Amino acid sequence: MYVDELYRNLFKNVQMATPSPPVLCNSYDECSSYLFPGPASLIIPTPVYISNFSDADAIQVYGSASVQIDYWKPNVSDQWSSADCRIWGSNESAIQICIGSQDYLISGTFTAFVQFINIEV
Amino acid sequence: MAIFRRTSDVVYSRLNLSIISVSNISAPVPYNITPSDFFAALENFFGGDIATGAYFDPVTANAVFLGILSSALTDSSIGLAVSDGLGILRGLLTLPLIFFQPTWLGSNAPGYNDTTVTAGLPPDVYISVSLSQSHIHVLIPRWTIILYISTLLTIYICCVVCLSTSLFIQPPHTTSYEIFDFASMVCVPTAADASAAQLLSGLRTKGSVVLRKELKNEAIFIRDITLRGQATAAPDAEQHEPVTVTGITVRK
Repeated sequence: MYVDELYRNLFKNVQMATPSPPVLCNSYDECSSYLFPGPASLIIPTPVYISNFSDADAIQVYGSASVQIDYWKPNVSDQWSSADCRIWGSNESAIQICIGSQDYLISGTFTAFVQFINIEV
Repeated sequence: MAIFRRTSDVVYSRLNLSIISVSNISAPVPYNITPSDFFAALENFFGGDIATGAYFDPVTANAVFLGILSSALTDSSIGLAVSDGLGILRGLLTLPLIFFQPTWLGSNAPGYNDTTVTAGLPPDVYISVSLSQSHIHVLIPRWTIILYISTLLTIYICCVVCLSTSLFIQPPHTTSYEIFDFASMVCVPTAADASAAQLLSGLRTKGSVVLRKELKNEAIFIRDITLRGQATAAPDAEQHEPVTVTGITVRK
């Protein structure tokens, strides 16, 4: 399952992400930052199959639109209301994700049922 | 987490499409995404919120995916750490940014087999691309060069200083006559051989010229005394080598 593979290994996926110096979170716990310039497979028309330069072993992209995301663990837990949360699942298993934002700062919590696990980001 | 938009020059491997290097990264611009946008994107993965609707049918793809996701966090046999769960949550909140861009799951997204540039997309997704041949270079950091040269210079200067200092250290006084040098060093005058021992010990700090002058009126006898080891009855016994002792006798 493509999404399943991606979210598990997103930060180790060398086609999608590359570590980058944090912009904002240097003073927080568990600070890390990644730049996502986008996979080369999204370059269309694709340059991979250009055959008139067989010695070329690299694709150079200029001015690629990229997203950099700083991740850190907040020092204080947020208070969540039901309006901040969504629950997805069946009668066998379910997950709850709560998301809050303040300007460009995003916070979230993740709960999986049957056993109760609560993780905050 | 905080989201920023930037632009960058990226080099991908043509072989496996991995990111080789990123350069010319522009200044970060904060990017606001509301929770409702996130939820709208996540509902594309998971389906509708069951708080406002019916549970998923367990055999649907959404329910199977959710089952995998929840069991990954709740199955103790997997041994998942909280940090792994944190990574999963971060991945889930990041994937919508990657998927739901105009060139991937956008309404006007180009097809993978398109051979022409798609028109009508936001201007910042149009990029220029070139193929290039990479060359592997060894880049030595400047600090290692400075450290290496400093260490070498320090060792070189220490060697020069030590050699220069050693030139000023007085070596043991010697003459051209080694046997007299040795004898003059070891002779200790006693009452019995006062004349010869005193003469020899007095030559310790003299040079070859003085030595010749001092001894020109002396009669010197040098003899070798050879001591042979005693033979033993055993055929494989160790045979003692002859020992030669040189003796000096000085007569006035």
